[in-house]
Amino acid sequence: MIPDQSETLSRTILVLLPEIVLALSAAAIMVAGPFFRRGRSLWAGLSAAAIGASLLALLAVSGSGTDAFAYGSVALNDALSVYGRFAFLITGLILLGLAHNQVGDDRAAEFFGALLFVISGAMLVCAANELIFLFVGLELVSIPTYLLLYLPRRNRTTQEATTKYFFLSVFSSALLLFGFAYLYGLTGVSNLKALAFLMGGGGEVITTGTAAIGSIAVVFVTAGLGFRVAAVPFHFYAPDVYQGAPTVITALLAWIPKGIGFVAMIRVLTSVVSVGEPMLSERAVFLAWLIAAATLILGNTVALVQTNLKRLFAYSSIAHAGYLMVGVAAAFARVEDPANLGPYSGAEGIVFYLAAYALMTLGAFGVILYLEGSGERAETIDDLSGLSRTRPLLSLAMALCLFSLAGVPPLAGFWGKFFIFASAWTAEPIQGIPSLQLLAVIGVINAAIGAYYYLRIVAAIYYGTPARSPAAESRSAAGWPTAMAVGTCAVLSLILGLIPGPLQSASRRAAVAAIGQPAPGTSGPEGEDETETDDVALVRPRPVR
Amino acid sequence: MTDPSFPFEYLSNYLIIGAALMALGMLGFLSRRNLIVMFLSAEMMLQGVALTLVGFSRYHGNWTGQVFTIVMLTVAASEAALALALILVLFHRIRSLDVTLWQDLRETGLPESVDTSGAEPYEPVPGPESYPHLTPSGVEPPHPRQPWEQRRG
Repeated sequence: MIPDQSETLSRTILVLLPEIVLALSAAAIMVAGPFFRRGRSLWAGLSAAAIGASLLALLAVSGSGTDAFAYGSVALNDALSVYGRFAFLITGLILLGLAHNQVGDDRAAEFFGALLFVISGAMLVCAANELIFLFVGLELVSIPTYLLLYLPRRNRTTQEATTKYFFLSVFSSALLLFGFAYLYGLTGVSNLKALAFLMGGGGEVITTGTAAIGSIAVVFVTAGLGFRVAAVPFHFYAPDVYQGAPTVITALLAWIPKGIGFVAMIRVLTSVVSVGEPMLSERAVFLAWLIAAATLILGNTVALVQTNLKRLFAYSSIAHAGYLMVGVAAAFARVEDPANLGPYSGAEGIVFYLAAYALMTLGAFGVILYLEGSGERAETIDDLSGLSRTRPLLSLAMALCLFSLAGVPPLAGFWGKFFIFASAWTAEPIQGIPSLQLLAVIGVINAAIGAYYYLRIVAAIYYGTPARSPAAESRSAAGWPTAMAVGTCAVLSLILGLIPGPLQSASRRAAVAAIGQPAPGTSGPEGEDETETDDVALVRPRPVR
Repeated sequence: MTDPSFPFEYLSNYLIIGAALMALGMLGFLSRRNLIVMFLSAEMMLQGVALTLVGFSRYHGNWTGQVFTIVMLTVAASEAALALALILVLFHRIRSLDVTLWQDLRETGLPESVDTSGAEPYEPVPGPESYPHLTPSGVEPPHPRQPWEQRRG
């Protein structure tokens, strides 16, 4: 039985309730901004309340499944969607804590409104089950990001950073759209579950000639999302933009675009391509293999020579995009039976790694922000030397985040790397391209190189001599929300490292849900109707020659 | 559902023109130095995408591609609004639209990646930046506007 249109629509609006709450609050804050002479703490508080309300809405709708509507609705409420939206809301709260005092009073309403829009856009990407909807979600992240880059500070370097990010982001959107157009042209449907179903042989769509069209789609979508996640060869904007942007926006740029880029890759590429024609999937694995290896090597080696902290974290974030691309390469590998994934899947590793990456990166940037907030310089590695004498607790948090970034057990970053390398190691070898095991070896070597520059910072903090005497310092404290955000990141990195089980089973469920193809109509409210896959047959196209 | 009057041979024409627009836009974006022309090139890439989408939409005989085009144009319009605002600000700062004048952020110790000798000459104008402004009327806005004290150049 085909779920009827109005029911599909009402269910979709229901599962999108968290995003609707967030976007409406953002719009209300932006509209109210010019009319009230209030400080930024009011707007920050309202934003926190909006995120809290959205979190409650997410918990309320998390039980309502959308499997029966999967081939007709634009948004899904599967395990990946709930996992991702939960992660973006929590990191949204952390970002809000870091950002609460980073903008002037007269621009605070627009700033926090834009921040809420970014979070709701990221959540839309996690829930999206439709090319158009996914694109709108990605742009709902990009467009407020331009505002966020520009609003807090208006000097020449910020303007340059904003310009670079803006132009490259517009360029990458065009590449992404070109890829989406060919992905749509391949089958004539834009619903992602239906697309995967048709690619999997459900509709005899793939004839020999269309592997070319599929390759165009994969290459351009990878390029467009590669800009978002800062993967080589689309990484070159990252160091400049990270250095020129205000620190809190650097933290946001290091996490949100990367997070949504990889979630979008799981939704659009790996779940669709890996169940499709073997030739297309092999080409996709090879493409991801090349990007992953280049990203890993370039990110880690150039980071070795950096002294500016923000530039160093920019190259470190490029390197982390490389580890995640290893997961993408493993996830592209052909899956014979979507209902039965292997013991380690690439998507599972990516999803786990993203959560760990968010915590450790935001924590490290939070420490820099805390120091800036209390009036100290924190631009180069030398500025941090001897920090442990004056601020032992903050140094401990920084050390935890850096160890986690380096992948030292038993922290969350270690398990993320472990699951990704395990998925690459256990992937089936493919004829004609370098094996994924070699990629896993390259990844492990790079993790060792990466450990050097993280440990260099830790060594400076604990064994360096302070540039100035501790007594001369003002020792003022930054705001408590910043401290709480940093503490949350560090503690969660440790806890998730010691007890990775719950997060791992959640990411497992997310990976299974991403690739799973629910039987149309069988789990609907009636349940007794066993007619053929009517709603797919409705959109079944003719093959492209 | 499918349209026999629109075979693949027709579709391929649309795809070729769409890809050509896309490629020309990409070429223009990467080679031009004027901020406005760069943005127009990016818009041309989007027009190539739109043509591709509409062609596929006609071929498959459904409306999805056309809906996609409308959504895409809407998003592109809001991006254009932001782009023009940003370009205006940049122009007021250095009185030039040449993109090669914005190379302050780069690896330490490396020379500028693009030669600026061919750039339009620009002279920093003394004094604070000037923006067009409306004569205030009605109630005073809640937040007193801070005068723009930053210097050009």
